[in-house]
Amino acid sequence: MRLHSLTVRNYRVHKEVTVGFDPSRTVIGGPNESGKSTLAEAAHRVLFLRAKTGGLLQREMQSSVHPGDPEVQLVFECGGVKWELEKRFGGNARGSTQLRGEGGVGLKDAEAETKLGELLGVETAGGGGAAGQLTQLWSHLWVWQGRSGEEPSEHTGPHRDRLVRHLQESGAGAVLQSSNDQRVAGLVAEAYDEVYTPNGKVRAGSKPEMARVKVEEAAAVVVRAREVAERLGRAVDDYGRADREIAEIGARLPKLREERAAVVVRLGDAERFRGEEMSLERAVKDAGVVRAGHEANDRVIREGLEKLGLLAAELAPAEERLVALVAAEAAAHGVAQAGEVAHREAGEAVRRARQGHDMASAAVVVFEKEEVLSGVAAREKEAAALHGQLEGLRLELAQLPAVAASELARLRRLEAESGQAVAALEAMATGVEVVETVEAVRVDGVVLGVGETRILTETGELVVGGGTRVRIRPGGGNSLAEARDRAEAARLGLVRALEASALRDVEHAGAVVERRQLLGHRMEGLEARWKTLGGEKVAGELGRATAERDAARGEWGRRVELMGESGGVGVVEDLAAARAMVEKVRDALGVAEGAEASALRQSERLRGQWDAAVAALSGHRDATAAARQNHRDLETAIRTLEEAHGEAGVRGAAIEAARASEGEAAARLEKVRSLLGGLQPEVLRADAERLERAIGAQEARLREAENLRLVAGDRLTLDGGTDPEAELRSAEARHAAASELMASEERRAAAVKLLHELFSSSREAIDRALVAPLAERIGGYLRCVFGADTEVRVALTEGGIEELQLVRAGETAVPFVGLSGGAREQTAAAVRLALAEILAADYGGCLPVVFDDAFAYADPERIESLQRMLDLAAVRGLQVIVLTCTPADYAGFGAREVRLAGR
Amino acid sequence: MTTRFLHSADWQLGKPFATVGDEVKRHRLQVERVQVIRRMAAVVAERALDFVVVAGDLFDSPHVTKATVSAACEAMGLMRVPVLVIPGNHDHGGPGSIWEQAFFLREREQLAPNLRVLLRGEPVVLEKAVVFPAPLLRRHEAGNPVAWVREAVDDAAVPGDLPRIVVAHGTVQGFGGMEDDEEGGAGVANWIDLASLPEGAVDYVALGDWHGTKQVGPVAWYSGTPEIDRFPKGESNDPGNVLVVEAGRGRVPVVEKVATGRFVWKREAFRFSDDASVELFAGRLDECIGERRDEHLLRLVLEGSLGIDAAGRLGRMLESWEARLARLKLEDRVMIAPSAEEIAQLTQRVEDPLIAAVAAALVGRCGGESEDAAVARLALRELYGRLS
Repeated sequence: MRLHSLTVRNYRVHKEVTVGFDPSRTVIGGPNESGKSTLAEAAHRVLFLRAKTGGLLQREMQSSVHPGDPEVQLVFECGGVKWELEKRFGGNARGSTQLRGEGGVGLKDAEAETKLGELLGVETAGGGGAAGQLTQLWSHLWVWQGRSGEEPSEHTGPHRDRLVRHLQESGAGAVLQSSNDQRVAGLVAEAYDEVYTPNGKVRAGSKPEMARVKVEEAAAVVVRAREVAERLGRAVDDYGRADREIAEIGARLPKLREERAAVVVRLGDAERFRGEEMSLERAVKDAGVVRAGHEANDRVIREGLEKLGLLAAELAPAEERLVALVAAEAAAHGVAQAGEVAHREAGEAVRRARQGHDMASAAVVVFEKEEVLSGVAAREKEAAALHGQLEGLRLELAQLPAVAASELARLRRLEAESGQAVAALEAMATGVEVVETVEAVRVDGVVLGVGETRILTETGELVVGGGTRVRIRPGGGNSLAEARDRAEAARLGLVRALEASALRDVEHAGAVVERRQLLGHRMEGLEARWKTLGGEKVAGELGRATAERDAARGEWGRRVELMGESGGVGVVEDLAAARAMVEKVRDALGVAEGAEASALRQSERLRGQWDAAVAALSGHRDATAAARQNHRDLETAIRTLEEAHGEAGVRGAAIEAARASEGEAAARLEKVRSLLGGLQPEVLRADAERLERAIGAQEARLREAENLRLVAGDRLTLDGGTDPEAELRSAEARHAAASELMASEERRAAAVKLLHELFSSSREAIDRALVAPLAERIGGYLRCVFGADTEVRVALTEGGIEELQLVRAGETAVPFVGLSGGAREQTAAAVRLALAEILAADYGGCLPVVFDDAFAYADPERIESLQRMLDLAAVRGLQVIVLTCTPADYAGFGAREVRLAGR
Repeated sequence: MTTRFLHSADWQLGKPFATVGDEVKRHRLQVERVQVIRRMAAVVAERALDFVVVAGDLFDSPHVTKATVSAACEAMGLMRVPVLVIPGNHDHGGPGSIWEQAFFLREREQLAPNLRVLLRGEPVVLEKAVVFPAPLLRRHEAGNPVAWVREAVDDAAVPGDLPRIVVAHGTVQGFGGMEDDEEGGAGVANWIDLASLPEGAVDYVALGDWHGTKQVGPVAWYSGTPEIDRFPKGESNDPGNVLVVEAGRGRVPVVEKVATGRFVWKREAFRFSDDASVELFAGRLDECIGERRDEHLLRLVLEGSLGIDAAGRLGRMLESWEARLARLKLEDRVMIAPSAEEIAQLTQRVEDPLIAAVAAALVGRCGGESEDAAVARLALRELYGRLS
């Protein structure tokens, strides 16, 4: 199908316009609102909208400036025939369609619309739903302004079937899965989903999973049933084993008990012999003790008598030496007492010499303190006189006005300022002097005699006689008054300053300042001398010197009084005499102290000699007393023993009798021991223990066996509700059946999975083969724009061309939605051209593709490459019609160009 | 003097039939083992027999339930003549056995006073016979259970004119010890040495343990179980009977086999050569089972290979048989693989390229015996089933 020309009348902005199309390439240019899109719409509607359609669709086509129904005339070629189509869009009433084939009969209205639909291969739009239908019709060929970047599936879906048919025709092995394929694949997928999760795990609740759960449950039941059956089996075994053991023990136990009884009898004999042995052992031991006692007593008495003789021989010389030591001690005592008396006398002489020395030293101190006191008193007196003078001067100074030298300077400055002000005033005043007059001259009413002068500082009146009055004005203007004010102010300042200091005048002030300075100098001299003498501290020094002198006198008094008892050292007149006295008594004291030390040493030596004599006497006296006591004690002891054990003959007979008794007991003991050894009591005891242990063990085993038999018997007494063996066999059979079912279900699940996987992989292979030619066509267009290495991946689904991906050299695949706005427009255009190219086979090898400002995002460089793509489409047989507001951009396209004028 | 009595064994009351999945069918099998006692009681009454001997395994285990005990006692009480029972390996008389449980003793006293359990190897003198019982007091007896009889027959206390009947449970010359091939067992044990019995001193040996009726000596017989309880092995096996015996001292016993069983247990095997043989097999089954389908138990071994469609037909057929029969124990070794037509149908689908591609991949994997091949074959069946 190829468009030849389009004429529109009374259609929106157009009164009447005719556009002729190039068979391959047409560019319609014009500024905005020149009606380019209107022409694209008119061409579309004349083909696809029935003329009698009314409503909004019809009204929006009507022109607001050009009266009359919109009319569109299109000449096109289809199936090798040239057709003239004319429609008047006048609603149901006036709408009309005419279709006339070249050399054929013209068709009108319904017939024409039907024929048109046949030529276009679509159901044209009309009636109530026309607006909705219209946008879908040939939307792949009409690229409306603003919709050029839409997903290809938006406009390829309706043409999918025809596209598939052509693709199948074009490719040798290219096929598309049938509806039956899809149905079966769907059933398989459903079966797969029933069993498996999307992650490929077996789904909970699915048949294989439930079968597996049942197997586990059945296995658990088998385990439980087996446990019950085995428990029963064990009980049977236990019962039999216990029964056998009870029988064995029943046979063994009586023999053991007999053996034990025999051993017990022999053990009784052994025990009795053992008792006798112990009794005889005691008898032998007792006899031995009696014999040893007699022998010991005899020995002790004889040894005592020998020792007594020795003690008596040692005692006599000790008594003689004791007498000599008593005499020596008395002599030493007398000498020691004489030494002590001599020492006491020497000590008394020393005491007296030290008292004299102390009194003389106290007198020296008294005289020294007296001298200090008199010095301090003289100084205090001079300081008091100076202090009185100072006080007089301070009084005089206080009575003078308190004027400092600086104040005097200020007063003098004020006085000068006052003088200067008066002088200035006087310079401005007018002097009136009567030199000579006949008549009375009065100034301001005061008569002024001849030779008198009157100074006027302000306006005054001079009257001469009775008829002459002269007004005199001194100075000029206000200057006189200001001078007078300043003179008065200066005067008042001086007067106030003098009054403030109670001064008569400045001279008086000068005299006062001079006097104050004189007094100040004198006071400083006096104060320096006073401080040199001690100032305020001298009174304290006087007090302390007085107190120290009084203390020295007190000490001296006490020494004198003490000396009075034992004789004084004489009267002392002055300090020199006192010091001479001290020297004198110090020598006497030294002599006395030497004598006292000598006496002490002699006394101590004598005392030591006496102590040694006492010690020697005491030691010997104690030793002698102890020897005497020993002798007496031994004598008493021997006497007591002889009284108890008799004389020597008696003692010898007793010893012999005891020895005979001991021998007899030992012989009896030997006999009993021989009998006991024959019985082997240790062996008997071991036998008894062994047999006791064996019997105990056997009895314990018997009890255990009886208990085991009881418990096993109890377990074997069943309630009869179930038969454990039958239960086990049933459980095992159920487990086997469940396992069989599980195996079957698992195999079926594996089969479904295999089917599902094969369907998926086979479908992908088929799809790839089918869409290869389409992808190649799209890729051919896009290589014009994006370069030679560009490839396209695409899927053909129920929705049309989908999952479009652009793969450029060295880059990862980019899905359509991931492309930029410009790339989307260009890619979508390539899809449209490829689709149109394939579908053109149904329309005589050509289809028009209308681009209405479809490359809004393309930059100038991309526009260049776009022209290459559009030209390729034209070369491949398509009719490309571009409507643009920038026709100059398409200068390189080589198209027929139609220019629309602006409004 | 002669006596006429009924010889039976291996009742195995309380057998769980655990491998029978359907609970109702399982119950029917269990109940039938009690019902057969009533049929035996009718034989006793009709033939006016003197007593009944049960040569072991009256119960299936030494610990059967009270319900089983009560049902057994009630049924045996109907026999009206002495019923002499020895424990077998299944219900041996060891510690805790059913024979000493208070409940059993009470039920026996109240419901079956004619029941006498022989737990000791010593002669039992009846009015018209002397019985020499060889009870098993444990599951596996190490020695010869009838060894004691050699000396006992010479006991002066044993009347010389009464027929002497030995009752024992175990294996004789390789017979017996017939454990269930489904539920397992202890194998052959409890060997009975018939040669140890003094020649001419015993007039009949009533044996139990072998579930088919079988004569194993001039005077020795296995009665077999009165109601078959397992799939028989070999053609000579003849279960489902009791023996009516007429014995006299020093005479050869007269033994009559009386059928008592109701359920029919059969084994069948079939190999599928092609898909058409499924229908052939259907005819074989009808012929084999005939009427009373619900009283038949069938152990079926299927081999060969079938196409998917044929396998589907076979599956539906087996589903029906499983429901109809008292039990269908199936050993299915049939390899199900698509036939050449089915392969073509699956893989040559120009209009369904996806299905064809998947089917071709599966066909490539489904040869051989590996698990992967089995999964691939099953996947092909799943795919095939979803095409229609």
